[in-house]
Amino acid sequence: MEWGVDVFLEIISVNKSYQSKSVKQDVLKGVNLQMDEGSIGVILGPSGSGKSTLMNIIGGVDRADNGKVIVNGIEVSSLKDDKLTDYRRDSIGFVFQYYNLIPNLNVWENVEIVSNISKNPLDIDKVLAAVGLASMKNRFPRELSGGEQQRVAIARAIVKNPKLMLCDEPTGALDYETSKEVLKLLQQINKDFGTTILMITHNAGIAEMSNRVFKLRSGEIIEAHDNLEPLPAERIEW
Amino acid sequence: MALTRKVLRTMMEHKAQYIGALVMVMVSCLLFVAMMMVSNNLDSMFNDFSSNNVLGDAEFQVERPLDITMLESKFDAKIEKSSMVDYDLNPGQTLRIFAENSRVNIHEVVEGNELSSKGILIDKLFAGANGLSIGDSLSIQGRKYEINGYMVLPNYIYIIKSKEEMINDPKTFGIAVLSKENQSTIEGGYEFYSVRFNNRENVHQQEVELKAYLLSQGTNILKWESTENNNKVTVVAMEVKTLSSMSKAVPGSLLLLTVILLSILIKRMIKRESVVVGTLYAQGYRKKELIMHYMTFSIIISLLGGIIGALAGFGLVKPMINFLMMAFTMPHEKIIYTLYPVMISLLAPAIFICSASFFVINGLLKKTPAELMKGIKSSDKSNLFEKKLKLDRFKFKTKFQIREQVRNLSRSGFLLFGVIVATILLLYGLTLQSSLDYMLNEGIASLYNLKYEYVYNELKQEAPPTGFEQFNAIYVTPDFDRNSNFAIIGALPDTLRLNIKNLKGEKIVPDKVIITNILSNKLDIKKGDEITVISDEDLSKYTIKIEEIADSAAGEFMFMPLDDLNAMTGYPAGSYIGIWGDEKLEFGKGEIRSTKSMDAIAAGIKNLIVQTGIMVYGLTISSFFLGLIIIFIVTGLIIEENRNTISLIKVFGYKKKEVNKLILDSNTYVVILGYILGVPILVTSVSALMQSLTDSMQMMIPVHLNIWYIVFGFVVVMFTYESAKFLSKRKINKIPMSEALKAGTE
Repeated sequence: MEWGVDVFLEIISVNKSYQSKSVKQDVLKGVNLQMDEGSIGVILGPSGSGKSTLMNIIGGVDRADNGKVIVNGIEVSSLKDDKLTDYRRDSIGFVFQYYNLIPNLNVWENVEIVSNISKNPLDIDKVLAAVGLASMKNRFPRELSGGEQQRVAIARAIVKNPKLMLCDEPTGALDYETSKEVLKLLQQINKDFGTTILMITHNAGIAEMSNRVFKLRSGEIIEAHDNLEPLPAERIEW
Repeated sequence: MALTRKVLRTMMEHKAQYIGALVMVMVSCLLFVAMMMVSNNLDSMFNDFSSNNVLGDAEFQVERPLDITMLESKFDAKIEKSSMVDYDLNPGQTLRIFAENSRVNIHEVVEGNELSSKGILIDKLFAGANGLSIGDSLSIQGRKYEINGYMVLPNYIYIIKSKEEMINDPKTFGIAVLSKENQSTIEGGYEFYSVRFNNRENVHQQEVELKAYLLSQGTNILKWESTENNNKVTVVAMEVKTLSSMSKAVPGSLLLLTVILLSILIKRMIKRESVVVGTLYAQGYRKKELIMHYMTFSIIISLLGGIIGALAGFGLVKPMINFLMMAFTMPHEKIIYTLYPVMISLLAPAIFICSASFFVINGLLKKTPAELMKGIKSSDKSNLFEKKLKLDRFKFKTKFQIREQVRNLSRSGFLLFGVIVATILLLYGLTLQSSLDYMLNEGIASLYNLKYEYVYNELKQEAPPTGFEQFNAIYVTPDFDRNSNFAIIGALPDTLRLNIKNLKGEKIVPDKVIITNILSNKLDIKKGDEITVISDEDLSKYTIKIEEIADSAAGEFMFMPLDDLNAMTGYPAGSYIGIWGDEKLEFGKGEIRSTKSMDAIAAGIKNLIVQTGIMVYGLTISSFFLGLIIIFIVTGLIIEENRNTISLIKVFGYKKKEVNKLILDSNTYVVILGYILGVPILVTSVSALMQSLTDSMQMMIPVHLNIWYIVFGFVVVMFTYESAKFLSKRKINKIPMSEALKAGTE
């Protein structure tokens, strides 16, 4: 799929703050962001910059205090709880830093947990083959390496054929070689399935494989630029 | 100090689980102390009453007067001649009036004054039920007697007219004592002897010897009733036995549940806190100190539960005894509070719970500080089971729920055992009701095709009254089982009054020797076996071959042709002792030994069923709450163990209902399995209890559980389960999605 054609994700003046007993902490301050369909976006930022909060708001897991979040024409920020659940269920695939696999389900079942509630899921065996885990489908998470576990997480995210895949530090818990393998896989999925992917990371090297890069600091987008010549994942270095 | 504060905080954070454990220990100790003490008190009251008031070992009627002095000396016994008469105060209301005894079965005044020359003593239950008070007068055959007081008799602790009635009804039947002179003026009574042997060893054998001696002297024994077969007395022994066995079984099960629960909780807590434990280790805490810290949970629960339970049990003793005394009439001035049930109730939970906890804690703390600081992974052990499961063909929901149960077997075991215990409690009372109902409808009502049974005082040979059918009967004791006693009934081979069916359900007639399957099971004898029995009447021995087994829940009987029974016993051909028919007959004075009305028996059993209703309601409510606590705790454990999964599937877009179903329904299989296993365990244990009570009850109740009661029990268990699920939904709803986003599980 060709990117840069339609605006897929649009964030307009999103603010978010958390109020503890006596302290109010502004986590996002008037964030604006745009991404095209079929693209790979990367949000770069140090710890505490608000990138996870932003991703949670985009994923419909958290709500902004104000501002708009529009994904594929749906104004996520105005959805009621039930509709928000439908939105996560139908449109979003999540990949987490620590994989978040369910320990007592095997590989196949960990993917099935999402396919089970999807309207038009992809064939689990095909997805597992795509992520290179066809031979490990009966293994339990504890029998897999970190990279393999993250592949399962990716398979779980793509089995519902989501419009948007949100990856929170997908290589954060992996070594260099394994990280590259996982990134290659994400790039491949973007290419094969046309899935829009938004990754958050503090690893600036990953930005080189994306189409669009956002730099977030203290809750504000301080820089947003297109990467006209994204590198294949195997060629990026950090 | 900091660690102690942590204990209390942890308990507050997991209130439901620790309060549940505390409640189970408390209820366990409460029941143990209360039941044990009530049973001890009953036992002690009965022993005191029977020895102080010289409870007779037997009562018998003979044809001619006995030389009491000679017999007392020969058999080292106390013997007293007495008399009784059933006097109808009002239609349908009988007062059984005894002559005042001074040597055996002596009455005791429990309220009011001793017997005066113009006075009468009556039982308090009868007085209360009929609005009679001390000082009132009773008119008996035209003479007025003033009620001097209320009395109790050791041979009428449970005041019933005959053993067929089973349940006392003080409105229609009571007992009274008059002076020997006054009592002898009332017409219609009969004389009998009461005997108590001074040597309390081998009473049964001494009875047999006395009987044999009387027979050898040509004394015809008209009636012999051993106290060991008299349910007006043995009902106390039955209650003591029931309470005593219940006081071990029910609290024992609850205690075991608590042991499992606390072991699970502590194991989970240490695993959860392993990083902290490792850190404390690393900072110089000794293993002993950490073990002590985690033991504190068990110590608090077991001691607090033990103390509160024992105190509550203490408080319950008096009301329970007062309640029982509404049925059992015995003097009960003071309640004996013994220390050992309290000591056991304090020590047993502490020993069992603390030692189980110690093993769990010690095992986990064997790891090095470094290993602990890395965190103890849960669910490692069930890996083998999980791997072996082939669940491919199941739906995802089913797979998830099965894996959830297999993941933590101790938790599932706790739930399974808990549901079994709750099922047993729930169905216990219903089984008794169902069994009585079965005995009435499938047993007595279906066996007998008659309304009245009359037993004469002596054998008859003339033709029975029109519409009536004759029978003969003797009571026998098997030679190999001297504790059993049953009747051999001689009936006409073409009888119309008995409906006997074989085990195939085919109608058979007593043209051969038939025993009921209840008796066959009890004595472990089969078709074709030979059995040697001893006649209760004249101690003759007979060997009889069993030719057929009857399927009847009516009781323990052997049937044979009337002529065969007469030939075997040496009774004149054609003679009979009783008649069966549908009409109520009037007989002359002294002609009839007993009258049995099938309607009265049915009413007695129905009355008993109604009486057990209170127990059924109580048990149903108790088991509901026990089940609720257990299922709620287990559901809570599942929710806690799955916090991350719940959070995660919420992120994936699972709806509230779907999350609830996936997580909360995972116990359904275990709950259903628990119920399915609980039913046969219950039937087996109630059968064992019934078997042990047979001697005291003088009848065998065939254990039977009606299918509708099974369905009802299932509905209650599932309702309990749904209630626990409903209470747990809030917990699931409260788990935020952010938990999964922050977590790093594997």
